[in-house]
Amino acid sequence: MAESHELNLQHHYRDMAQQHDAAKLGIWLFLATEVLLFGGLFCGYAIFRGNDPELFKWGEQFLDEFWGGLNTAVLLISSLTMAMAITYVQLERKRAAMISLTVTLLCACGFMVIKSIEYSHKFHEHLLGGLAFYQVSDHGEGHGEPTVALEPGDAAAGKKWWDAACRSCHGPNGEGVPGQGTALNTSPYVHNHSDAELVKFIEVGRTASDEASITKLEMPAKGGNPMLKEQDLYDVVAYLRTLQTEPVEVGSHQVSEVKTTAAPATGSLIDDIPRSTVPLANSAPSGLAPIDDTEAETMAVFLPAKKHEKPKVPQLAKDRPANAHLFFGLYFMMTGLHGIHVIIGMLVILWLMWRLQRGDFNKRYYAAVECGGLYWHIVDVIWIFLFPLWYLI
Amino acid sequence: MSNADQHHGDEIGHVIPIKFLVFICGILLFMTGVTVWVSWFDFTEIDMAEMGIIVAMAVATVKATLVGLYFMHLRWDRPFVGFIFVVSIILVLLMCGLAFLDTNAYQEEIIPGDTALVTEALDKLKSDH
Ligand code: HEC
Repeated sequence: MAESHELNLQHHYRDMAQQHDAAKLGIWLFLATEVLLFGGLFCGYAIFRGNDPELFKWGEQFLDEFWGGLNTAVLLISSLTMAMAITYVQLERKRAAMISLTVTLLCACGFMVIKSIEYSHKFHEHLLGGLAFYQVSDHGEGHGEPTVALEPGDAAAGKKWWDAACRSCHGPNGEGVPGQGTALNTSPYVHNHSDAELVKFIEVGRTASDEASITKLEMPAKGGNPMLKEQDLYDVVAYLRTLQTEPVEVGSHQVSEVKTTAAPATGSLIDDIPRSTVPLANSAPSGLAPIDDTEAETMAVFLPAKKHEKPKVPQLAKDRPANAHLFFGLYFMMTGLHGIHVIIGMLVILWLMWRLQRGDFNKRYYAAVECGGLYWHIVDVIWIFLFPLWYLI
Repeated sequence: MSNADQHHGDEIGHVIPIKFLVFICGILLFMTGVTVWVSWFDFTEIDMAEMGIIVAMAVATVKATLVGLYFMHLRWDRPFVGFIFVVSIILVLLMCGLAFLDTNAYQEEIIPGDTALVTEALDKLKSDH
């Protein structure tokens, strides 16, 4: 009977049923690894949510349950049509199967469109996860070159940044912190350079291996704080000017005209910018407060040399909770990985449509459709959990 | 039930009627609606803040089970297939359980110095000295 004309039977299987079962077993093993893959992320979610429920309460406001709910419905319907496609292939109703697969594909496209609407919103608001969360950057309008004439620095605003980004290494009054950063209030380098040049310098920093390095310690670019914009740096420098006292030569090894190899002071554009109007004379106490040892110590303990203070002011809202970047990091990781699965699923569906069109499948040979379907359903199952976890609770 | 018994002639596997699939999908959509609806309640008022999470996860689990049983044919497949799936879930739960053992020892902030909290902590350290 059937066995005689089984063109699709590979020789190492006893019959078509066994071949079909083997394929399904294979795909299920793969699906199990998918569960493990996403399981790790769900585990991370559970831990961080457990540790910091407030963070997730806060973050939820950025996720629109309308879009999330719509996407859930779209995926559920695509799962339905996928299951229908299998039934139709089993019944050898090719046209109906083709229509079902097409609808599935369209739903997948719909899902991705909605996803990209959501994502682009968040990209726009700089809510990308991880490190990028700190990059307020200049909206991609060229790098570093200011597009608007910069105002002379505002020392009051600068103090804020100083405390957030520089103080940990250079001390509250610029007197330096041993083992972290040099004194700037007495630095001849600061004294001898214009605001624009200093901004240029701070933008790049000075690595420990730089030959101009005095201390062989690292001065990170922007104090290790990519969030600082050019205007902020002018503010910081303006504040720095208020801290300045007379420069002192700290020994012959400290060259006053340090070659800033990393930051050549060739500012054609920035040299035209008016110098800070803040007088050089300091408003800081003339009798400098001695370096507070305990403070330096706690700083050193709390902020190891390479970990720099991040700004206190978030770009979103003043009350951005701690670990906000973690929320978005997890969000993008989980939904992004899921999105990648959807895209792969779309390719699989396209491939199935092509083979269906070619007339590959019949009621005894359709394991490919079934396996593709299983993959598609697991993508749906994962979304079934992602949706309430991110959008609802 | 294995695919070997062929009570529908010579085709392989169980054929699920379209109507039944649509019915299942209807239930799934309905449950999605329910989860959204429940999420609008403020359970903190009745001192059951966790309720929202519990309901949402319970509904999601039921939905996933329905998809698994009917859309993914687990209901009619060899039990071994379901076994693989269940084992993978148990492994995930095991991993979560182990990972949860020491979460209370985690650092409060992932990237120190990010926010006002750290500044506060620093100030506190200083004043304690
Ligand atoms: C990780 C600690 C650290 C942070 C944070 C930091 N600096 Fe520095 N900075 C240093 C070190 C170390 C040097 C000395 C480099 C050397 O040895 O040449 C330095 C040098 C400088 C100099 C040159 C001084 C001189 O005499 O050569 C300036 C100006 C300066 N920093 C400004 C800033 C500003 C402004 C900020 C905040 C945006 C900042 N720094 C944040 C560690 C730091």
